Amino acid sequence: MKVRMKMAKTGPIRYVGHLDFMRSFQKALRRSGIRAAFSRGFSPHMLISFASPLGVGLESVGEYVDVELAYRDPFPLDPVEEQRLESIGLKNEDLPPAPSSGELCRMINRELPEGVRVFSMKRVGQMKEKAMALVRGADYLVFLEDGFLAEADLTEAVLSLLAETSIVIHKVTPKSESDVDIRPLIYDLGVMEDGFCAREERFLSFDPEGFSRSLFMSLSAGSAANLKPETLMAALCRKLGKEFDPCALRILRLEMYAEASKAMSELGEAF
Amino acid sequence: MKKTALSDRILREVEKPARYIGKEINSVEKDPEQVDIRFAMCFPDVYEIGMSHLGIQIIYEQLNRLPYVWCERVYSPWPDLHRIMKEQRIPLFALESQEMVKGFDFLGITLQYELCYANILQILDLSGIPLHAKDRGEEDPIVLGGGPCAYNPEPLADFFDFFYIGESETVMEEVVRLRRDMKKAGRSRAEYLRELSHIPGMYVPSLYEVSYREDQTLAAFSPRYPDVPARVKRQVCMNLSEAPYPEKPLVPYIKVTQDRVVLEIQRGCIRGCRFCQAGMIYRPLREKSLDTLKKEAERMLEASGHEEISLSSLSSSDYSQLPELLDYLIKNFRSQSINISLPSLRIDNFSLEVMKQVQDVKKSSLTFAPEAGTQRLRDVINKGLAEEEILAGAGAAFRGGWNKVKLYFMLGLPTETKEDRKGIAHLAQGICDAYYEIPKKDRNGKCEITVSTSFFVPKPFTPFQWAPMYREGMYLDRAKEVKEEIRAMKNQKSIRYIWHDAKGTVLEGVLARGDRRLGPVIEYAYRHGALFDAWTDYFNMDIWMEAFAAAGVDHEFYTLRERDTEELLPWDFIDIGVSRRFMEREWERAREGVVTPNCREMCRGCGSRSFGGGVCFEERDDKGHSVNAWKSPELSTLPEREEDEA
Repeated sequence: MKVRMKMAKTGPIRYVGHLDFMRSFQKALRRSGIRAAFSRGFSPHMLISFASPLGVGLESVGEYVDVELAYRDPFPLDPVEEQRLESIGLKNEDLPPAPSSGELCRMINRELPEGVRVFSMKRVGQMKEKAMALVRGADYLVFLEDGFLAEADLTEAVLSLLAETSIVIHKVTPKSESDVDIRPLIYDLGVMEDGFCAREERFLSFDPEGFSRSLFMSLSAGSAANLKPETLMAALCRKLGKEFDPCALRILRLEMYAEASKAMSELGEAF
Repeated sequence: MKKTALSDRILREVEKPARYIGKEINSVEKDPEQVDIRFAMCFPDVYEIGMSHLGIQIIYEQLNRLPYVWCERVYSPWPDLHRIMKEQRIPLFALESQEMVKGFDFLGITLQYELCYANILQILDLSGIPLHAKDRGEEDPIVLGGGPCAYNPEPLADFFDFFYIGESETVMEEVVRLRRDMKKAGRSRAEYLRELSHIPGMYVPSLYEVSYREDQTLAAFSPRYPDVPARVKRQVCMNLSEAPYPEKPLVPYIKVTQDRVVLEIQRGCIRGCRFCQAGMIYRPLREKSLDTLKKEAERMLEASGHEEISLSSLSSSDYSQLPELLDYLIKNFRSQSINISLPSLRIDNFSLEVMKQVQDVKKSSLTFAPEAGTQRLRDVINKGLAEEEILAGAGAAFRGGWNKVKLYFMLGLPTETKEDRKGIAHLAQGICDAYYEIPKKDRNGKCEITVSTSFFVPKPFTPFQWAPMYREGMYLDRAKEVKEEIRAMKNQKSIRYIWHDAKGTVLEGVLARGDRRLGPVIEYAYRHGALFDAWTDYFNMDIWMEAFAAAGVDHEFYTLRERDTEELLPWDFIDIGVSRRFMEREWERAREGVVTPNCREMCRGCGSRSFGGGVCFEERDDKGHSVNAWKSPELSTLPEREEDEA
């Protein structure tokens, strides 16, 4: 049975990069006693897929990961799905019944490192698109260190940035260089009122003192067009004529969305 | 949530910040108020290397089992963080509590290789602990060193309060308990160290004095006080099956070198290769019981969630119950999708059959370590591996579907000639021939032979401890000779040649057999930027040459001359249990090219029998052979092979 988990990654573990985090997560799964399914061959690996890698230093309360578990899928499978299971040496009716999603959450949470927590687990069909392919958007809170952009009028800068029809940035990757218009990738951008900030405080591992201002961002995400909150911050700094300091930010990913602004957690069935 | 010692800003600036945050699975947290002794255990290299070290995990387990001790870990901050910590005067901290090392009772540093000596001073410096033991006050931690390089601790004598000679499983508890008791009684640091010197195996350098002759060799080495022992005896754990072992291994977040469960199956080695320090300083061979290993493997995999288990020992094929152990591992863990990694197995039909079950033949390569290119030189070094065995092993491997072979050699061995160096190329070609003898239809494409050479560095407590070394240029010339000969081989395109850097070799040689006069050299080098010398990208020999000049030390004194067996060596005061007479005899036999049988073939009276256990007490037949003497295990002892359709 393939499940999609929603989880948080907060606290010092935000300094563990995506690949290392994936490995730690798999080791936790092994320790938990949850039966994961494996690929075949000499170096079997878990069938696991994260929706979107989280950058080093970022925290999140909206991470998604799909995991193939070696439990019986309670929903009827079509022949194609059966075949796929067979290719990894499994037969649905031979598999043990799955514990409840609540029980599975408890099992994995006992083994996850401090700051990592699975909130929910849903069953997703065998052939459904991978989480990674579904992601279209993500919400973020970006906290600014108090010394950073201290004199700037953020609200005005945001408004004038949003008023532009195109915001072209020069993107340099190890493989290529190109100009990209990020304006269409910004769904929402605003300076947070204190209230919202306080409401999300429970997720934060840091003392928001010293970070009294924050921005809310809703951005395009996923493999087709991904806009990082840092990139938008850099564009905002350019607008303000200030130097961008990536180390003055604390970023919290709040949620990820699939098509039609549907939160990823709304996809899949409860079990 | 506990605060990290480093600010968010710093953690965002440095490479791999997860090196510094602690909180790994199975790391131990204690309440500082509830313990009497804070112990910082340090591996003076980067986190990924240090976390892969088994010894520290054993000490960590052992000390944390004591309710009154909290043992934490410390590793070397990478150069990027080093710079920030120096600039902003941030004190070095231990990972678990994120608290300053300076406030600890002990700072233990493992001495695994000579090229980390500058990093030791970095640890002391960043901690704010005076570099020189004599300048430390009552509030400073007691700094101790242990591990292979502690078998010649003299170059580091200025910087350590004491050295622990031997295995931690023996008297470590006594060492910390004594500190606790004396601290409670309000006794001073000096009083503690004096008292400590009475515990067997503990060497307190400040309690000894050294004098030199005009020719620079050592004249005398003696205790300053009558109650301080003149010789320090290595402490050996004779019952490994009962000894503490990390059943809940630390699981790092970031990928480290040894990212797997490590199962130490035995300690010591019967082989007696004359260049090998480990083969002497860990004598006698002591096996762990099969039951212990089964239990440990299971618990460690369960507690860590690792997806791989690896056997650890100097020569795994010599473990007397290897077939039973492998059978157990394969039967129990393959079905759980756990990889089994088998380094240091001798290549024969048995090991090939086992490897076929646990690895992908097409992707994996087989490793041989002939160490020398001709049989003559292999006899000199007492490497009991004949050319026929290598070729037979390679042939069997090729027929089994492998086509990648790695060969390890050393250059600069005593008595080595041009013929021996050319022999490396010829042996590689011989292996190619073995491959192309197989009918083409049964071959798996081309064969790939990788020849790798490192330069031999004579180490204390080996029969080669008297041997001369060479200048940097001569090492490179030797590598060039090998390279040219390989290029002249018929199948040269199938042979890849890799050789190691020679500059580090020379420095390693100086430090390995150095004496107390090297202290100022190490200090000068560190103060002028030497750091991470074991890393080619960071190693700068110029700094060290400047340091030798500044300290007025002729480094070639330590490398180029052949030492006389009459000479008093700086490490002679340590008694490792293997007698100096045995070493001298072995040095003699080496030069005659005479092979010495291994411990299971015949006891050669090295002295280790005095420890009262291990291989020295195995049952013998009427020829004097141990009943566990090595023979290739029967293939029928192997578990049934699972057919894999994928």
